[in-house]
Amino acid sequence: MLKVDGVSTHIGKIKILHEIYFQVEKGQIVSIIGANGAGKSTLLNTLAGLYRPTSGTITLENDVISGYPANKVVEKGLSLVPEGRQIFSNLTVKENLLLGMFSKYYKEKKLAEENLTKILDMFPSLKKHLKNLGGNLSGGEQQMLAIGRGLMSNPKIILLDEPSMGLAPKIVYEILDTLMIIKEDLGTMVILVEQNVKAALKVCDQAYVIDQGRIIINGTRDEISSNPQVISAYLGIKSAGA
Amino acid sequence: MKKLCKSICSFSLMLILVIALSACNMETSGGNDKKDGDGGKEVIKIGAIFAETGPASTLGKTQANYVKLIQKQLDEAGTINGKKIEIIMQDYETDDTKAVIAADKLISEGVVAVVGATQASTSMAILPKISGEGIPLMTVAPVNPEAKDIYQMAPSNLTNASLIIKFLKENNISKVAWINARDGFGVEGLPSFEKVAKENDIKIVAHEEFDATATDMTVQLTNIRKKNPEAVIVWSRTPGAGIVARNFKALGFDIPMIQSSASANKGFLDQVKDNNENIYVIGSKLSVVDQLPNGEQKDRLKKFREDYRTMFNSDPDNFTAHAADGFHLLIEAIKAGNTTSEDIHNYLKTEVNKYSGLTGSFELQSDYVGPYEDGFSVLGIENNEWKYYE
Amino acid sequence: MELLMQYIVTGLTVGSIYALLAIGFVTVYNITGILNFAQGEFAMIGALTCITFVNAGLPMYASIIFAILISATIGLIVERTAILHARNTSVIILIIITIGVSTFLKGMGLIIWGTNPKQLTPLIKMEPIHFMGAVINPQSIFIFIVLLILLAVLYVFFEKTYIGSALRACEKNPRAAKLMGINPSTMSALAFTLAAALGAIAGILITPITDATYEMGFLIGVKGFVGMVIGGMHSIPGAVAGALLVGLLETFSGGFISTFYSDAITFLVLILVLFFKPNGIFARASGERV
Repeated sequence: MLKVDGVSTHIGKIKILHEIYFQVEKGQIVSIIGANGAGKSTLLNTLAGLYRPTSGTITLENDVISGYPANKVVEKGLSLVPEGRQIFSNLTVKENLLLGMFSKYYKEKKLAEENLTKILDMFPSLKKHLKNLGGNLSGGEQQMLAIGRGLMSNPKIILLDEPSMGLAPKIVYEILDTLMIIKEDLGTMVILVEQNVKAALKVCDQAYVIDQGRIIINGTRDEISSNPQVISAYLGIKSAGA
Repeated sequence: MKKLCKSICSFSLMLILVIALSACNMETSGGNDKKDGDGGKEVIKIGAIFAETGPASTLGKTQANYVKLIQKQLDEAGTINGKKIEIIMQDYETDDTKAVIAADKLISEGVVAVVGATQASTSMAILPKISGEGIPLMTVAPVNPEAKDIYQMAPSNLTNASLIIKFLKENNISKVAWINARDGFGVEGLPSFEKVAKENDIKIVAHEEFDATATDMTVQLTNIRKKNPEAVIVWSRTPGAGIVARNFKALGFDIPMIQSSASANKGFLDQVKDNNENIYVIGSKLSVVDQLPNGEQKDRLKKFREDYRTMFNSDPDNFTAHAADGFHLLIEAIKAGNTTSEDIHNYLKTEVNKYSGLTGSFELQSDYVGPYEDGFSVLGIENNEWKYYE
Repeated sequence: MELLMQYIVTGLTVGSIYALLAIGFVTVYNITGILNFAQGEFAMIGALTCITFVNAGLPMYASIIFAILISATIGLIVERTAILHARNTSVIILIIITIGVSTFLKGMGLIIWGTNPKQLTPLIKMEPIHFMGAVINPQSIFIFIVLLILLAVLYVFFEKTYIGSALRACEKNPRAAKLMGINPSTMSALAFTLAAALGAIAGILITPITDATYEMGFLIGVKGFVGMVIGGMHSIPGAVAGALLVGLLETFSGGFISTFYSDAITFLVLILVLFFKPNGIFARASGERV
C-alpha cells in the first residue's frame, strides 16, 4: 500500500500542494484527475522524489520514501512514467528498456533478459523496433516504450503522468488495456494522472479530483462518475439534477 | 537551506585555501622591516625588488639569495664611514602590481637607492615612482634606453646584437634567419639586431614567429629553410627555445643556431641533451669561469661564484651578477661619502666612469647603455656542458 | 611535394596532440554539459607526475600508471569540491568555476615543479623517420596510434556497455535518468575522473615531443576545445576529426600564407563553422523528434 500523509510541496516560495492525503491499496488503479495546473504533475513528481515535500510523509508498504532523491525512490519500488514520455531519444529501444532496470541491474543482471522478454510480450509492437533509436518511434510507440521502461524494474507501484497526451483514441485504448494487464497480471499498483477524464475513469478503482493543489473530491469509480460536480466540471455534460 | 549552507562552506574553504597559499609567499626576507629607533641616522637603507617566487623566480631567486650574501658581507665588514648599510628586500611574486606596492613600501622606509626589478616590464612599472622620488634605480633587466635617472646593469639588446654579429663575422656568415616567440621577451631582440646587422652588411633573409607555448615549430623552420640562411637566430625563453632546437636538428639543418641568453640555463641544456652540435647560446662568462684564460676577470668571477656556492650550495648566474653589480656600485658610492639619493646620483653620473662589473665592464659616463660585451660570450655545448671559445 | 608532405605530417602531429585534449573535453561535455577548462591542466599534472616518478627511479610503465591514477584522483577531487556543490547553478557559472580550477592547478604546478621544462624519454627510442621528403618523429606515430586505440576503446565503452548507455542517457535527459535510478551526480564524478585520466594520457604522450612545464596545458587545451567545436561537440570521433583539422589548418596556413597569421586563420574558420554549421562539421542529425 502507498500512503500519502499530509504532503505539501513548495516550488520556490509558492505552495503548490496543500496537505494531500490519499492511499493506494494493493492491486488498485487510482486515477487523479483535474484541470491544467491543478498540481497533478507536481504530485507525481513529489511522490517520485523529484521534489522534496515540505511537509508530510509518503510510505510504500511501510517503508518511508519521502525525503529521498528520485534515484533512490525507484530503488524502493516506485516508478514514474513522466509527462511527455521522456524516453532517451539517442538510445535504442532495447537500451531504453534495459536502463529501466538500472536501479536493480548490478544486483539482478540475470533478470534483465527475463524482464525484457516479459515487457516485449506486453508490447509486441516494440519487438520490431529493438535496434531503432527511441527518437524515431511514433508517439504511441514511444508511450508504450516509456511504460515498458517503467515496468522493467518490477516496481511495486507505477505512476503515469498523462500518458494519453497527444495520442489518437485508438492508442489511448491500447494504453488503458495495458493498465488493466499491469493491474491484473503483474499485480502492480497504478496511479494514473489524466486530463482525459473519460479515459481515467474507465479503468480505475478509486479516483481523486485535485483542484489548486487540494483534493476536493474522492470516491470509487462509480461514485465519481455519477458525481454531478465532476460531470459538469470535467465531463462537459450538464446533468439534470443539481 | 542546507544546500546553500553547503555551497557557502565549500566556497569559503576554497577561498581560505587560496588566501593561505598566497600568504605563504608573501614573506619579505632580510628581516629588515623594523624601523630603527634613531630614525635611520646611523643606517643607510638600500631597497631591492626581486621575484623570489612566481614564474620569474628562475631569474629572481638567486638575486634574492644574493641579498642575504651581501648583507652578511656588509655586517661582517662592520660600518662604512661610521654607518651601517641595510638592504631591504621585497619579493614581488612576479606580479607587477605587487612590485609597485613594494616600491611604495621601500620609499616609505627611506631607502636611498633601489636595485631591481627582475623583469623588464616590472622595472618599467616601478620606474616612475622611484625616479619620481629622486631615488637612483639600478636595473637588472634590459629597459628602454631612453629612460632617465636609471643605471642599467643588464646588457642591452644592442650588446647582445654586437655579440652575435661578432660571432657571425668570425664564421663568415652574411645571411641569417630570425625566429622568435610571440611574447614580450621574444619580440624585443630583433629591432636592435636589425640595426647592428645593417651596419655590418648582414642580411636577414627570413623572419618567423611562433606562439611561446606552441608544441611544434617545424612549419616555421621549413619556411626558413626555403630562404637558405647560413645561420638561424632564436629569441625565445624555454620550453619554446628547446623545441625549436629539437625540430631544427630533426629537420637535418647543418648550419649553426644561435640562441638568446634566455636559453643560458640548465633547462635548455636538458632540452637539447645529447643532440646539441652546432647550437650556440649567448651566455655569461660566469657559467664557464673555469674555462676562461687566467686573469683578473677570471679571479673576480671565481670569487663571486665561490662566495655564493659556500652560502647556498648552488651557483649564481648572470642575473645574480647584474644584481651584484648594482649593489657594489651603490656601496662604492657610499664608501665615497655619498649617503643621500642626490649625492649617489651625482657620484654615478659624474664621479665614476670605468667600472669592472661581474656582468661586464661599464663606462657609466658614456652614451653606451649597460655593460659592454666582455662579460658575455657566444657559448657552445660539449658533453651537455657549456663550452667557451676564445 | 616534399613541402606538402612535411606540412601534412606536422599538421597531423600537432592535430593529434589537440585531439587527445579534445577527447577529454567531449567526455565531460557529453556527460555533464560542462565545458571543463581545466582539461589542459589534467594533461600537465599527468605529465609532470610521471616525470617525477621516473626521475625517482620507478620503471616507466609503473610511472605512467601511477601518474594516470593520481590525475584521475585529482579529477575526482575537483569534481567533488568545486563542481558538486555548484551543480544547480547555471552552466556558465560552472564553466567559470573550471577556469578557476585551471588557474589553481597551474599555480600548484608552478609551486611544485618550478619553471624549468622537464623531459620524458620516449617509450620507443628511434631516429626521426624520413618519408617522402618529410621528417616524422616516431613519437608522433605513437600518439596517432594511441589516439585511434582510445577512439575505439571509448566507442566500445559508450556505445556497447551498460554503464556507457547510462552515461549517454544522463547527458540527454538527466531528469528521466534519475527516474531510472541513475544518479547524475555520480555520473558527473565518473565523467571528471575519466576526463582527468584521458588528460593524463595526453600529457604523458605529448611530453617526449614538447617537454613538460606548468603552463603546457593552456594552449593545447584551447586548441583541443576549438577542434571539438569545429568537429562536433557531441561526438568523440567528430571532435578528434575537428582537432586534426585544426592542426592541418594551422600548419598549412603557416606554411603557405604566413606563420604570423596562422592562429588568426584558425579562429576565422572557427567563426565560420559556428556561423554555418553550429553543431560542428561532422555532426549528424540527432534522433530527435521535432
